[in-house]
Amino acid sequence: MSSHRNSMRKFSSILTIPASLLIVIALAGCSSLGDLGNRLMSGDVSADQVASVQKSVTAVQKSTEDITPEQEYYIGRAVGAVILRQYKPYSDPAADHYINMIGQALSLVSDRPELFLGYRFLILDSSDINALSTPSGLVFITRGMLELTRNEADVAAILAHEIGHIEDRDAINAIKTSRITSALTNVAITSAQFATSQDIAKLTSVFSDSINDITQKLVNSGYSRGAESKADLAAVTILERAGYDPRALIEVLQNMKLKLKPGGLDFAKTHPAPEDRIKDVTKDIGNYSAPGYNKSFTQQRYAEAMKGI
Amino acid sequence: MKEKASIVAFLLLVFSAGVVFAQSEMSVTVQQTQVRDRPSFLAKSLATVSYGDRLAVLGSQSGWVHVKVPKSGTDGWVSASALTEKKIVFEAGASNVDKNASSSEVALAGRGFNKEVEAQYKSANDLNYTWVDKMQTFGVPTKDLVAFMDAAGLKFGNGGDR
Repeated sequence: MSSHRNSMRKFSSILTIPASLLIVIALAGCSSLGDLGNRLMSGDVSADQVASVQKSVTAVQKSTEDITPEQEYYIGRAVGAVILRQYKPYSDPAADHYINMIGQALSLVSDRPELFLGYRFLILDSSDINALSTPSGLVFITRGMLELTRNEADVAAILAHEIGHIEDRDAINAIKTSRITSALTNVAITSAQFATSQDIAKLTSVFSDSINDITQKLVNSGYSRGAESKADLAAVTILERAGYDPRALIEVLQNMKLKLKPGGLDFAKTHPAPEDRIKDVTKDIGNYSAPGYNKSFTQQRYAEAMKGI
Repeated sequence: MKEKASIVAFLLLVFSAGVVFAQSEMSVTVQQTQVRDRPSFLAKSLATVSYGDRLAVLGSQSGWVHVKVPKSGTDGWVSASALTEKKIVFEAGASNVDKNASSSEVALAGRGFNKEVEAQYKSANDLNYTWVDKMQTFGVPTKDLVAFMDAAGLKFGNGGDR
């Protein structure tokens, strides 16, 4: 299991800066300064300003790792708004509250319990079999996906998989590095105190491209098989820690296998085939003895909350 | 042999001193979080810290960091997921970024993708943020989450203590 993955990553990252990364920083710094060079040529900025910006850019330029939590929050909100253009909310306060209880409780036992403004869950009014998560912790789940569930653990399994994507920053990592280079150049320009409305416009265009990178993955191409497999493994870990039966994930995948329509614009398009995932998840779970939580109690509150779905 | 051992010991000392130095301060990465009296989400809150606050690091334990709040001197535990070793620079004025930015810092806060950029993006794409804003209000207090899990006999463990 990967219990200390996050904290370990945090602590180790400061200790080791691989040479390859330094090269990337150097290269990225060069390319992003092209625009400044042009501005220098046109007399827009002074040589001193370029030197100071160059220092800043090469100092801060790295990768999507350098997107701040606050910016991740703005990116997540935008991705959420784009998803909500495609899907309408189901708007069932009791059901939304129920999935928020499950999802937020699960997030606390995940490897990334805290986000800039926390995890939030919303049911979408669609028969598509889909669940989507934004970088900032907004998680969406369709009615069609909830219809595959038979109990609370099944709902938890789906939400835990989405939390797994957020833990791994899969959406943020879908942003092309060149966008970050470009954004940082703009930020450096701003910081050197010659920001113009043009700079803001350019930053907005980089923002827009970044959102497209993410929604393209979420809605069209899907993440890599490896990323999905990691999210499934994270889901198993989270379910076990919370005390739910992790085999619920297999149950949901089996139902998904029966219901997914070939050519569908949902999980049929963006996720590996359920049977492949079932194989991996079965391995992840290994030997497991059934947990002793109160299933009839959870069944009751599940039925009550899901009655409108 | 003895010489070799002492060189190793010296290197270990230098290395560990470096580690301690590198981790001596961390920044808060979430809008607000609690400094707790034990490493657990169930523990009592001693203080609230905010985005960008720098905290002195005293130690760490499975997903939690033992910190001291410099202003008040309060010491307690913060979830490692709410901290970064990077420095979050807010006012990215010329002199600030120039002097302070280094490869281990995040110098973008407030000046990158921000409210202003969101407003432009929103109007250019004719997006509606009503439900995104509404979702943000769906937060459930930790004590209610714990009660929800407890009622069903689900393990909440010690609340994040793994």
